[in-house]
Amino acid sequence: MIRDITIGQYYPSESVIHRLDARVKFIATIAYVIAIFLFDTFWGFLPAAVWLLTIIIVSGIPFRFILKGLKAVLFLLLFLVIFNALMTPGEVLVQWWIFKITDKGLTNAGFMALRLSMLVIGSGMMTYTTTPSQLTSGMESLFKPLGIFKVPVHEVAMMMSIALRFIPILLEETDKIMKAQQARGADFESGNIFRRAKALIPVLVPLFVSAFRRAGELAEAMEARCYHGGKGRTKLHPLKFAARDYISLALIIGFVVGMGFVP
Amino acid sequence: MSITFDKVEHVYGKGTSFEKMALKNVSFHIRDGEFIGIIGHTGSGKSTLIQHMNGLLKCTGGNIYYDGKDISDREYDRKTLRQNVGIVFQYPEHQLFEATVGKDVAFGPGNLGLPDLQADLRTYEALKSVGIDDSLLDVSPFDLSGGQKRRVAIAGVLAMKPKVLILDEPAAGLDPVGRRDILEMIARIRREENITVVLVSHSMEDVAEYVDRIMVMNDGALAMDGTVEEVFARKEELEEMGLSVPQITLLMQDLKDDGLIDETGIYTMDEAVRILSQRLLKR
Amino acid sequence: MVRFENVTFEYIRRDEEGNVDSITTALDDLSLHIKKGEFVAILGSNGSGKSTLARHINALLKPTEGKVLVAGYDTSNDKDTLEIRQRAGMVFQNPDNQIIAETVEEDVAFGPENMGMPVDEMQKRVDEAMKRVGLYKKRLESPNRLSGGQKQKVAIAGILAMKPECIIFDEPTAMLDPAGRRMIVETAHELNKKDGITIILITHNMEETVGADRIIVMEKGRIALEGTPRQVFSKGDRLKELGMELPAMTELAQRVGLDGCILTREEFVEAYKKAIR
Repeated sequence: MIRDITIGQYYPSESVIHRLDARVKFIATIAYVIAIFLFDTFWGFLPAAVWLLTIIIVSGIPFRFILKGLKAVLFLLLFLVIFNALMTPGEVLVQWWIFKITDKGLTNAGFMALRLSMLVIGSGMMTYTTTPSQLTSGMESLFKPLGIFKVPVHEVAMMMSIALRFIPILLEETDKIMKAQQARGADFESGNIFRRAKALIPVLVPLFVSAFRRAGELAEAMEARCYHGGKGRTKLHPLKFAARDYISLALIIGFVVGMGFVP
Repeated sequence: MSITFDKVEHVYGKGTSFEKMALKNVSFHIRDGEFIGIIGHTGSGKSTLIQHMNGLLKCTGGNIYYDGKDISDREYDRKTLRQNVGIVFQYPEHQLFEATVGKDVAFGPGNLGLPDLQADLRTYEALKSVGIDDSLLDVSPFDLSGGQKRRVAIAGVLAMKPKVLILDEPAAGLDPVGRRDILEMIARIRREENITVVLVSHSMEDVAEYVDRIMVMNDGALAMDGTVEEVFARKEELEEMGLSVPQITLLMQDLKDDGLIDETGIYTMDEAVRILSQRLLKR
Repeated sequence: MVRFENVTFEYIRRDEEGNVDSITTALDDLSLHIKKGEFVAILGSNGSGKSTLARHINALLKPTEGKVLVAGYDTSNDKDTLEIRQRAGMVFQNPDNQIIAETVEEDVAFGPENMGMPVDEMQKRVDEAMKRVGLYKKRLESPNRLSGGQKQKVAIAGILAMKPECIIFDEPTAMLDPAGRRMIVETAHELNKKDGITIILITHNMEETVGADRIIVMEKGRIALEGTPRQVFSKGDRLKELGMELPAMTELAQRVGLDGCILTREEFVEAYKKAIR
């Protein structure tokens, strides 16, 4: 079940998109997200859609895998569509009891669905094509200037990458603890919402205890291996701009400027 | 309770790229009161197997019967099954959660819907049988020593009064004395309560010493199933699976190869001592 | 290589107001000298102070009293901490809780990265270290997909990439299956013999200590028994008092009354032949 959700996963491949510098991909994603929120006309969406499609094709990631990412937000998507379709005032097309569907409602719902899907797929492309460690070192490098305002950029990046590594381990642990408590007669499946929430205490307490124990042991292991914060640290794979990164950056700038001419 | 597995199969993540056959065509029958050892390297399917034994996992193929009744039947009472078949997972002390030892052990009986008095009684009994003193009833389980925590966790399962007790590496991580104590305790509980015990272990020595019958898991299949003698006689096959036989068995084999003794299939220290001292005394 | 001079270490527990609640003496006036290239096994029941001792060697803990010297550096001097940690690496019990990065290669590089090693040198050392433990082919894989024994090997490679003089193993095999155990103990012996790395192995498993140069048995923060495996295991009664056992071969030999302290199967067969003649 949890494995079905592809969003946030890395899809290993050797495409140009995969090899791009994480910083370039990060900037591109931001530009893209701004683009889809700025426009609500067909002509406004077209460039972003073409842009997204190109990236998907070049990255070589199968469409099936990408669509699976949408599954995670399916409910939100449906809710937004229905909400928009019913709640927008305008010329009534269909009416049934107190429900009215208006022409404006329909267009709103359509754009909303399109916008959200494109947002999920677009930001998904970033994580599919970038390893978590590249992602965090890219962010660390981009946000480095914030260091002068005493923002602990390196520490935050390190925390993110450790969290990413431990998510699967903690999920497995949750499963183990739930099974152990089920073996002692715990019931997580019946009763109302309060009963179910209460039934989770025997899972959450051991989970927190174990997370803290792991954190302590990990901190010790990191210290034992000479970790002393970001000062004087080097990287096995330092981020380096190649020709493809400069070209991509030029394309992004072109895209952003181009958006200014969209009617 | 007798347990029958008939061609049991389990596939994880069917239809996804993660698809993995964790159990393949596993069939066996466990009689009431047996002491069974399960061995196999990490990832051989041992833990998937024991989770099927009390219905925590459902098989994707084949059938499982308890006392002749199919547990996948819609009418089968799965709650009673979980009560009757207790599982002590690896490092069970990691599942303690209550504020006091007493409350933690009473969690299981409470879930069974027993009246308080009866639940308390079971808590006392269970703690007594694992050798935890009454004075620790109101202590936080997190303040106990490692060995004590493990005993409390085992008591939490015993308080369910299971008819079958499954333990996954109950001695892992303990020092030699702690190891021996826990294993002796399990053997004693089995005698006193007259229950079926399934012991999953990495230690061939422990298995040789305590169990009557060994099941060997390899790559999701039940590779061997027999008495201790029968299984440890197949040394080469075991080694191919990344397992081994007890040191004593290896030694006695060496002595036999050199024509120094005639006996085969010796796998415990006591037997080896008996045979070798007899010979040495004769001189 | 490692020298403990009258080291005492106290764990102080405080209540919510910060008042001292209890004091546990984990190391009690302990003196110890481990020579360069030695293979030392440390035994002792839970709570005897083994892990506390180990954590002093790589300056994770500092003595309350006394002095710990590692490769000539005093662990109480904070400015030498990194020098010490490069030279004395540590492998912990739980394989999952000591892997930091998402790929084998990046995890092995974690130590050198912290040292600020130049990139070319780092790649070379990381590659060498991975080849040394036989994980080069898995360098781009996620550590989550490795077996327990392989994860411990990643941890060892991570230390080797820092070119250590000494590796401390704190119950590295407790969570592994027999094949994994063998793999790690063999690796430790190989690093000791071929690379001359000083090894300190903490374990509960008697069989793992048979090949050591020296065994130290701890009790209540002190050294209770010390010597070559033969010397230590010939004191069976004292060992039992300390909550330890004998290796299977030693115990059998003693129980059937064979002379000398026997440690291995080969020795047993020889001694038995002699006795029966």
